[in-house]
Amino acid sequence: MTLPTAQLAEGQVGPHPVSASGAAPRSRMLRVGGEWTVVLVGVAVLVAWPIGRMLYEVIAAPSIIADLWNESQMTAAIEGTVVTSVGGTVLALIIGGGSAVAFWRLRVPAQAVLAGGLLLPILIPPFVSALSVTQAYTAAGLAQHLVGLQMNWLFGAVGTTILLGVQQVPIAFLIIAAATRTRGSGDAERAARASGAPPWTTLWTITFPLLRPAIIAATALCFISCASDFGVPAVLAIPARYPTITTEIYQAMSFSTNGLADPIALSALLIVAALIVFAVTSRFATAGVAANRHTTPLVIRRRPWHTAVAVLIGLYIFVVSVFPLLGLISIAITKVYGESPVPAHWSFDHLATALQGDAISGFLRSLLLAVLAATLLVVAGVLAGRLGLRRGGRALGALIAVPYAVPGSAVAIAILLTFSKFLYGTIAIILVAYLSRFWALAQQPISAALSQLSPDPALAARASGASAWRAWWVSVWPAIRPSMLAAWLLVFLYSLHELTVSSLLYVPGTETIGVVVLNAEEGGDLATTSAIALWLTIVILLCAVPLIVSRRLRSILGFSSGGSW
Amino acid sequence: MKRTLVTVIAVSAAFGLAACSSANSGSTNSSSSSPSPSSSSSSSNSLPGSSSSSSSSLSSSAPVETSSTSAETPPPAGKATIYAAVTAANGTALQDAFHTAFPNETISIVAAGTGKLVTRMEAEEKAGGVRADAMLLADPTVMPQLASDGILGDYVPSAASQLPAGNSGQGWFGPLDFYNVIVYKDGLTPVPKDWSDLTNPAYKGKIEIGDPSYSGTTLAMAAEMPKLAGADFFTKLKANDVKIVQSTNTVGNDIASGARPIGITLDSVYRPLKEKGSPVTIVWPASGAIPVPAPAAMIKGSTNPVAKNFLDWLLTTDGQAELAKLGYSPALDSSGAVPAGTKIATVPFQDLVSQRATILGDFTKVFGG
Repeated sequence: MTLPTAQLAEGQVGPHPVSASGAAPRSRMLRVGGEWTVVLVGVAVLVAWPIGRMLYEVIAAPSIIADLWNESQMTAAIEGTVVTSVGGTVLALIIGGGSAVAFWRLRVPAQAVLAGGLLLPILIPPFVSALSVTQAYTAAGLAQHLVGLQMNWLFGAVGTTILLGVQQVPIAFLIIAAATRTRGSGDAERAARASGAPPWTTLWTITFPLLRPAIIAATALCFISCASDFGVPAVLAIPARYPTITTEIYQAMSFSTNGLADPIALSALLIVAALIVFAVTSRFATAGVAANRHTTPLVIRRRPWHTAVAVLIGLYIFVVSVFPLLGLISIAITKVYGESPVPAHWSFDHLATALQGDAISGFLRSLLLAVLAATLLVVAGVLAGRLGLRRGGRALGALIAVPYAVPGSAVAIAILLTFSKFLYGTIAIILVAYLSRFWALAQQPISAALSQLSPDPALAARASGASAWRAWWVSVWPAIRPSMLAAWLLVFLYSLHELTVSSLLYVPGTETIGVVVLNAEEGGDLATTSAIALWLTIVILLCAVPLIVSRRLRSILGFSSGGSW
Repeated sequence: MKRTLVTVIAVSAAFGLAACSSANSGSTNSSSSSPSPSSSSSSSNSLPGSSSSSSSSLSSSAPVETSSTSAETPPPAGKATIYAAVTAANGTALQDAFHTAFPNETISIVAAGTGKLVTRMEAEEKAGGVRADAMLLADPTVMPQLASDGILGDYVPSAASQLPAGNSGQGWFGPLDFYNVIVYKDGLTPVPKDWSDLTNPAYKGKIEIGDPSYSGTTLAMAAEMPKLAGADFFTKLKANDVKIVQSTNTVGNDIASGARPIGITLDSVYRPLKEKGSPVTIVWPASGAIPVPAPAAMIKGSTNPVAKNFLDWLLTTDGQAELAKLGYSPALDSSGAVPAGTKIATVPFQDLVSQRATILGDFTKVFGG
């Protein structure tokens, strides 16, 4: 029973062809000139220069680092960050990755709707999500109004971990779901099944090795995303007196004894953590199985328990997204904050007020920034990803992730220090900051997809006389298209509601929607905050309707597999 | 490998570039903090993007196109950029009120929290100069750092001499005050009268306060409370299962929602809630509300007459009335924002900054974290 599988696995699992010794001449054959220059200039301008300039502030005053180390809270803060980030990452991988694999290997009904539901947490800014969860489930929340339930244990390490995990589920889901569509693993799997391997053995020996680059990419991204988040710890960890590195950074920014040096030194800690994570994970970043192209899909019979999986995912979406969204709605439509959300107290005033002022122009500006950032970064991601198979490229990948591993405020400081001479007061400085901060979100899925591909088809095209670009176009592009779309979506959605970076870079006339939300929240106006966040969600959901309706769009994204896979 | 080598070279080149530019900005920094900022501001004149929204920032030698209007001649006309720790709505209201009072003059307010604005000013200063003319913040404890960063100017309106002693410091003045007070949700019994009432077991699990690590206004509360309500006040409050949240805004909201129906927050948090109809009531504690001035100041290097006029205006009857209208307690009080006869504690702000670590240490000793 297991013998054939083992043989098959041995034949397939092993060093990736590209990293084998014979790789150099083959990859040179596929290279397009000038990429290195473009990518290196991009990394230098968007990452190395701003981050280097920022770190110079602490390198110039090394005593500050020593002072920070002596602070009593430091150890606890590092521990808090590691515990909640590791926990959050594991949770995100289990839920997001699990759903992606389930959608791929099982005939789960209503996939498009469920996929949309899994992405809900990134439609609104993290601190608003954290707020909506507390408003839904803790004291005097919606759940208490409706069924008398309150879960005040959410304040603390456990709640912080869970919510950080929930926030990263979309990242894990998108990257791994895209990887499942990147190439058909059909041949290898069919072979395994035909040789008598039971489904779980197939999953373990074929599927996981195949998805390994994507899982690794998602792990690294989820971890640095958790570690650099302040929105969730601000709402859930501070009341429990549970420090993390980001709460320390925020304190240092609220009251600075050393100017910028303290927050920067603390951010450097997060950079070190990110580099460690990348160094460790990149060892596993190549696929154990090389996949070729879209092969004939597996035929999967629908079984009753597949529906149960759909119900389970649906339940998860309801608990972490839909119900908190209802909480948000209840605040937005209750006339006076603090009154119980019964129909007698309903009013649409807040929803109307939310559209006044800078909300609409801010939204349009954010939309422009998000489209530009997503498009440019997908291109950059493809260019840099083509280099990522070699060692230098991998170091580059880690470098690219640095601005995403620190809080948005630190990125804003870095960008102000380097670019305010040229771009201050323009929307371009915000765009540059987004390009710097979110590059990793585009890079990880694309690099993962590329490192899964076998170079054979491209080599065949080259051998048949195609130019390097042509070879890439016919063989690589179709295979990585789902990952490019995942990358585009991640950058687009994160840029759309971004608020910490833009709140330090905006001037009157360049407010983003995030700045508008933040200004309402900092004024303590929860009703308006909720109303704006609600509009944001509604608009994005409306944009998503074509995705759910159009079969073609879905098949590009890879969520339409329902019957055919 | 060759590629690795190229990467290493490129990256180190970029870092070198960074070091270069920081050395540059270091020198600009020192020149701008020297009394005659001509060299730094002449370089900033050529900045693209600074012409529209912050045209008159660093206007000691104002940008060429507006130099005729913002030169130091008696009838000031033109624009100024103010970094203000107010809500966007209040920022717009201040802009409009000032423009109504001085139709030739326009201020442009960049609204954000104090911490964000301080971070922003420090980064801008290192990058060649702060892009604003004046500031109105919500936390006096950041001012000594801003002074040592070379960001604080020294202009103070003449009317500042009428302010209470606590409302002026080196290079700044406090046109309005925040008061730490007790707020509760209507219907709560018994009704509190003073700070020490919060230790009443009847409020067990119902109290919320802000975290002094995140703002000077709450730091003042943490420092004064042991003096006003007994050295063991926080120990008793902990026994009463108090909840500590990051911001006083959250305290206000949680009181209004009933999640925690009583707490210590600011009068400026209470008023907008009350105005919108939330069922909350303010208590001015018998042993004294804890005042914290909101510092206003010019930014070093700016001599923008509109910005100076704005700071002057804040202390006029007109300006003070506008501040009261926005829910603040004006410092030259005639508005009744603070009820007559209210006892106000005296807070030594200089000590607050120097003793911050001790105050937070004591607080942490009780609450952990």
